Amino acid sequence: MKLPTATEMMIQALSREVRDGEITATGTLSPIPAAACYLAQLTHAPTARLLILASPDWPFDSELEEMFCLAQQGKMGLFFLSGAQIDRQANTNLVVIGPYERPKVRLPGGAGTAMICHQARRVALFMAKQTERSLVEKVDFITGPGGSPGPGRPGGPCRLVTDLAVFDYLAGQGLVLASIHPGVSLEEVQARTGFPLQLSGPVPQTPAPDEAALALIHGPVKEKLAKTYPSFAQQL
Amino acid sequence: MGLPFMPVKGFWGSDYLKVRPDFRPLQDPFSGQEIIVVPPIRPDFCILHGYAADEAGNVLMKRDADADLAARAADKVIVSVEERVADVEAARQPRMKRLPWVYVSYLVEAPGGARPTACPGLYPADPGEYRAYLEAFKAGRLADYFKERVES
Repeated sequence: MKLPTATEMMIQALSREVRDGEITATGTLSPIPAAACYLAQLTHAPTARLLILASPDWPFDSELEEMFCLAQQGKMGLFFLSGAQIDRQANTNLVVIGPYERPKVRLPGGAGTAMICHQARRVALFMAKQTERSLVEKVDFITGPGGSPGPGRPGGPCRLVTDLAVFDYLAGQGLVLASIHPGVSLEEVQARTGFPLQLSGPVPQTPAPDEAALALIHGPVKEKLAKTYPSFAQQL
Repeated sequence: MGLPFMPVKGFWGSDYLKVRPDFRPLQDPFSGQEIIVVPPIRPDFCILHGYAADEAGNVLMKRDADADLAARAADKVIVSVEERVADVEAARQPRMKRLPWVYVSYLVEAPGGARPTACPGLYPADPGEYRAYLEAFKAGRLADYFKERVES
């Protein structure tokens, strides 16, 4: 049987985070989570209330203002977040590689990350290309705080899905390897992780999308996605 | 909004609190809980591009955009538009919103004024032009670039 692509695996794995009836939002440059949301809506979460940034279905008369307010009100169930670096405590970095005062790379910035990361009930992290330089022991700059508590924090990161594997975020332990995608070895995951992997036992394989899910991904999901992410949808 | 500061939820545990001494914790007088407050941004100028403007200075802009917040915060607001119309309410299309004349200081009629970025619904972004700009910048030829691509 043909192995699913890393993108198909990520769409499938991220779609499982979406819950029926809940407000779920994606941010800038998030085609994979957007596809995951559409897949979830066509399968297990038909009444998921989706906020796909920059899509034709965006309900607000503002770009981010109202979405940010919604998060601060505690109405956001799930948010998808990535970073140039993510660390084992599920901190994300969207600000700078290297020292803040003397950057090696100045990144685009976090926008509302430091707020939404705190205010969404669950944050699903994603990384389209996991390397030992992107999944690191400690990020150079904490933009979105991972596990640290704070006044009025309802939740925080729950999962990290990469092109290789799925990690659970467990309070006190950080990211724990939960499953490995088909065709990927444990050695490869370790080689492309910048810290020693934590396992909670034998690591299962991430469930691959079945034929019905693949048909949805390459059919109606792709079609909806093309309205916001045309070049990504074309390559899907 | 004209306020001296604004509370923002979250931020706890982020390094913004290390590099931005002006993001400060304060006790919420009502709940007693600690919250981060941030100072206002007061730009001297806001420059934004809209679809159309009328004689009164009302502007039609992209609906799902936040540039109107910048316009409300700025001292002076310069708006370029694709075209002049008699009345923005009559010209208003779906996915457009109105920026009232109150916030507008100067209007410039500039068709294609958003290029090489997009003017959604009218023209898309031009990645090739971004690349040309970046290459000119890296090669230290920005002055030539502007002469060739903008002023001509």
